[in-house]
Amino acid sequence: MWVMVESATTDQELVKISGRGALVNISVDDGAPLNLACKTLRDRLARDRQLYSHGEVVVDIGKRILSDDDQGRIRKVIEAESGLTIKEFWCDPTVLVRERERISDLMDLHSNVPEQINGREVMANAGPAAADSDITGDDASVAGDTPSTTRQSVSADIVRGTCRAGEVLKFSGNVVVVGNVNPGAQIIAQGDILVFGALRGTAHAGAGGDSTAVILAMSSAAPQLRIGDFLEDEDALDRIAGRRRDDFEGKPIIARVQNRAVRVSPYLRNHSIDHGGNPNER
Amino acid sequence: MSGKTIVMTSGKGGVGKTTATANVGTALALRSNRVVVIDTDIGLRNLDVVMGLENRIVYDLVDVVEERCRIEQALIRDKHAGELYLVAAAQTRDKDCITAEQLVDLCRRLELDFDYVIVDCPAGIEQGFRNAIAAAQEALVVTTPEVSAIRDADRVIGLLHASDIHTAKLIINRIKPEMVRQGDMLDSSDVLDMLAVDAIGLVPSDDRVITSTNNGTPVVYDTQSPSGREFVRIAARIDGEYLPMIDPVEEQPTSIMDKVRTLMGINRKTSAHV
Ligand SMILES: Nc1ncnc2c1ncn2[C@@H]1O[C@H](COP(=O)(O)OP(=O)(O)O)[C@@H](O)[C@H]1O
Ligand SMILES: [Mg+2]
Repeated sequence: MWVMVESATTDQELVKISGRGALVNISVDDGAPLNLACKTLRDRLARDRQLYSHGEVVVDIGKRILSDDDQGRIRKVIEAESGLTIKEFWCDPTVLVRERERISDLMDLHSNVPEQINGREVMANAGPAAADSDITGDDASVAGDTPSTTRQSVSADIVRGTCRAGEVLKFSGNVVVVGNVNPGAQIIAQGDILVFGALRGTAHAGAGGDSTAVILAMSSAAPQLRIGDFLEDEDALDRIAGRRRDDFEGKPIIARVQNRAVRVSPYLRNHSIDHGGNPNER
Repeated sequence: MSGKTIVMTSGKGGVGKTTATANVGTALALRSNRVVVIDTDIGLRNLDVVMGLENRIVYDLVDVVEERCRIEQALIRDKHAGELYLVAAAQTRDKDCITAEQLVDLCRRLELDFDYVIVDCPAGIEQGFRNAIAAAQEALVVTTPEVSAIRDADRVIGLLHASDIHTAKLIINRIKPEMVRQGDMLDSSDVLDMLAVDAIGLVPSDDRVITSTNNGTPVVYDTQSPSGREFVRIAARIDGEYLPMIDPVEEQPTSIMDKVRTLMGINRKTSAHV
């Protein structure tokens, strides 16, 4: 599921702060975009500064995997906005195991991709591992006003600029490309691929085998779209050049798996790319 | 004096790197620069032929890096243009016989004495290519308006970025205005959009290039040649002059009125309706 977080009411859900004796516990929602989570955390700590003037804190990052930089950002917010000292970062141990498997799968799956000299290779941080995270712990400060409509949000890596021929970009979560993907470039993601530009290179979404992943692009003339283990069927591949040019050139497209093959259709404004959305279509 | 090294590269072969090197080099020298062009296409040397200097070669690039001669001995002076020199490629060796460090070192030394060092790069993206780009501060990427050449140019631009050359400029060579107008050849703006870089020259396809190559006289000496005129403009742009880009598709035919309009800065497309 890939949903833009627009609603301010979800902020309280993104970061939970709870006291456990001398220890303060901060948990960050799995789905929260890190920027938003940091901002929320900053606001909350600033608001209740006197509550957190000293003590130790454990930061629970749930099923998320953070880079050193990202950890540093959270650390900075906490140190700047409170008197707390960080005891440790904690994450769900299952996620580490799963992540290791996932990365080695991704490597195996694409071990046939020739390593290009100097080709840009990106192995980004994981997106959230699963949508079924259940953050435990009593929430001292926001108890009682949990909004009834919460949105589950997920994060994505963002690539800016042109992806050029020979580049192989791999992601273990969702990816948003702000720019064109040129012929001869490859984007491989375990999650969704969203291209704010022209997709003319190869795209493989759901690369770990997730056939519910989608590929979305502002326009497309991709030589090959793969989702999970599926390609377009041969019929479609035969017609690719003609059809894409005639019907979709310059228009937004969405590709998803239907009847065990990748289908490309125009992306309409009211389209939902909610993976649970339309079970009949699969 | 401290000059700069510019690599002429493309990925694909036969798109016009050598032609562009000879012509841009000559035109820069005719603008009173001290210029040296280096043929790094070892084993397939032909920059000397295009410049008509073949029978003056005594020492070549490999002789220099293997220290069989001093640099000055391998600098072949051009017949016509003032301060223009060629370092020829070795005919009988291969690309692996020099290293990137050796070429970098040579170019650094030449930069002390010349305004421009232009490196004619071999096709491909292997050792010879990597040597050539290692030495350069700037790059000119040559392509033709064909998808295969554009694909290779794209790849090369990516590799240039990876080795910290972010200022690659594009020469689109062998444009056939008639084919573009009929929709049978990609428009320059399509090529530039795709490659997301700036152009430094739009060179029409021109039979005079072939004659000039056979004569060993670069086409920039031919004032009637449309490609020669564009190579002259490219040299001026490299030299820091601002000259608006002229797309050969828009350019011809040039009536007196067109020239007046151009001088007055009126766009031909809109003025055609007046
Ligand atoms: N603008 C042009 N019009 C016509 N022929 C050209 C033009 N530019 C290059 N050529 C021809 O194309 C061929 C390849 O050019 P060359 O400069 O040797 O390419 P490269 O060095 O990239 O392999 C040569 O025969 C040359 O004469
Ligand atoms: Mg050549």
